Amino acid sequence: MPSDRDTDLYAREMGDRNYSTVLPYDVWRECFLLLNRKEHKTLSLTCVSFNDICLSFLFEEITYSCSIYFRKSHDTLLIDDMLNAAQRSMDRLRSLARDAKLAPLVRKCTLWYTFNITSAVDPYYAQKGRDLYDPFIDTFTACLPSFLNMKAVDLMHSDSKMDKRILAALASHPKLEKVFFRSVRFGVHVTKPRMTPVELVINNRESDVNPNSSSKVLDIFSGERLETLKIWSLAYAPKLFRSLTKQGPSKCLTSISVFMKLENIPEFYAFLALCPALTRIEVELNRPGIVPAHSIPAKALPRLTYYSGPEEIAKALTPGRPVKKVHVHYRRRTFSRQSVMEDILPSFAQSIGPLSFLILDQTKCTPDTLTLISAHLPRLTKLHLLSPEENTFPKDDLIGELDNTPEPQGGENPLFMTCHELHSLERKLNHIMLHTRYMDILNWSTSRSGRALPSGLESLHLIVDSMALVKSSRYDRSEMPPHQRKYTTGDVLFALKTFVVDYPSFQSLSIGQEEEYSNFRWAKDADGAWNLYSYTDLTPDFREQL
Amino acid sequence: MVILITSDNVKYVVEKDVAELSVLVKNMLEDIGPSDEPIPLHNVTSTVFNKVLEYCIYHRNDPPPSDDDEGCASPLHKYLASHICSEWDQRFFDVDQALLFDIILAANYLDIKTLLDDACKAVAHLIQGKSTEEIRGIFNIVNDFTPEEEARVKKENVSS
Repeated sequence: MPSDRDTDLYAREMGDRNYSTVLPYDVWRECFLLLNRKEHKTLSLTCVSFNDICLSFLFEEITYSCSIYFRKSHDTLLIDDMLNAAQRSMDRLRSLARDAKLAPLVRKCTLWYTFNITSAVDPYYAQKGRDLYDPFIDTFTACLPSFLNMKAVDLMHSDSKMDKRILAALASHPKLEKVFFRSVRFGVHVTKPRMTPVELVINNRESDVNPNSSSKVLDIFSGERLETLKIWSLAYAPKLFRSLTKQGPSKCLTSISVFMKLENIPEFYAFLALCPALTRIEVELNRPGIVPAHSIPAKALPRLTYYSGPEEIAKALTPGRPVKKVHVHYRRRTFSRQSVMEDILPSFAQSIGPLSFLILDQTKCTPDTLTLISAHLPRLTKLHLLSPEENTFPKDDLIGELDNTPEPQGGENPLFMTCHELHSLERKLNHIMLHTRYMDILNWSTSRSGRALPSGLESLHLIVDSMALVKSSRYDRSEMPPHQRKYTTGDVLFALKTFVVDYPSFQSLSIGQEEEYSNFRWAKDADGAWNLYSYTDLTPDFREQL
Repeated sequence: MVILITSDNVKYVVEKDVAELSVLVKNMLEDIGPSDEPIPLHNVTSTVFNKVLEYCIYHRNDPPPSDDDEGCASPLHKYLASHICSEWDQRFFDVDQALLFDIILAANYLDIKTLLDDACKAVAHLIQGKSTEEIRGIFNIVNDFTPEEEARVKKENVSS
């Protein structure tokens, strides 16, 4: 280590350097990447070299927007402000497009516009507003070719139909790869040429209006280069599937995520049959119900490795395909979970992946569930199940005998607590409850003869339903649930040590709403020691008890 | 053990796993095969290498950085990635600015990604919340814009 004297001398020697020239461009860029837009603007004013670096950040993403939203109640000043803002937006875009240095820096453009003028508005201003529409659209289409390196466009909420001039301009841009539509209304359903995006997102979850309901196809996009498709629109999903199916195989498509109507599954399956490269499928249906029985050819989807969605579709897609991970969303609420599990697990066992990661986010962890999963999926390595209810697992076990004394209640009478104290008690009760849930499973597993879980299991995560948590608002203050039996750190380590005798690959046990934000996560380190991690702060007195 | 020699001819005997945190050294070791030949580090002085070594010894058991960290990072990971989260790291980078920049240059030359990333965070931290004048002061930067250029940049900033 250098001595203080060496360091002082060193600092004096180096202290006069102009540091902007000391580091290479790429290293400064790495530093600036960690800063925000305001700081990029400040840096761009310091010197020429910093300006060069920051320009790429400042002009990487641009927004072109216009809000003409006139109401009778709006005074002329407000209306003038809106008109002027639209004019400034057009002027800025034109100026940027003309700048040979800045225009090529643009990588992404967000386009947002609304032209909504009620009939009660002063006719003079109403006309001025309407007169801006064509120049606004034409400015965008005229400037677009100047942004030579633009790869992505984000078309956000609009309360009018998507202008066909915009669709045509986007279709003719040679570099455009990513196209995102949000709350879009397609009036025109057929364009020539089509857009050829690599990634297409249509997210109409907030507003899904279809002004051209008679058209059966949405023939605006080509499937030729498409690699990623997200279509979250009940209105447009079937139309897009029909159009892409008509075009022939979408050979590049590797990932699809869809939110659609239950009755549109036939169109969806017909499209899937023409996607030989698909590896990921995510499906969400608009309502629960019996999925129409449509088959998909056995040879289709030869590369499918991940599926997330309703169990009936999982059951149809998994057998004979290399599916490694399945995330099932429970839909058939009229059936018992046991019969559903008996119905779907044999199909999962037919995956040629084999299936190693299973998430059943509406299936409670019970002895019967674990036994069934273990019997059908012996090669499973990761399992996520809904956290069990109290007393699901038998309590006559090893650890219960070590310490089965009730939690002392000293001084914690909810009737006399402030809100803050009540909140603390609520958190503590939840920590104890969650802690008890996973320990009950460990306890049960280690105390029974024979394996209860797949022998190669590496991780088990228990998903916590927020409704299962203790909420003081749900109880009369005198009826807060009692403290449950506590397990100490020694108990946990003893249980885990016993558990890994039967499951030597086991590395992680967690409980929480999501795995990465688990309230408790016990993980084995490289030396084989178990450590506790927690995303939320455990209350200090709970930690002490552990 | 690996023998490394800095540009001011100071010899270091370093454990192989520590030395191999540098991709440059790792590649050189692979190229020369088993040998007792010292490896010269032309662009790093002993003053700077002492710090680099301190970092590598402390972080020798960290998991290696993956290329696709950014793509799959959770919000929590992204948050942690943009902050120097360990107290030890904060103390390590609490050094004279000249030394900090030479650590960066050494990390860049030796190709030690985690050290470079953490040092860049330290530099970003120096900039955060500062005005243009303050940044010029911190880094001894001379304003090399012409008045016309400066006016243009200000205009661009407004339109960006």
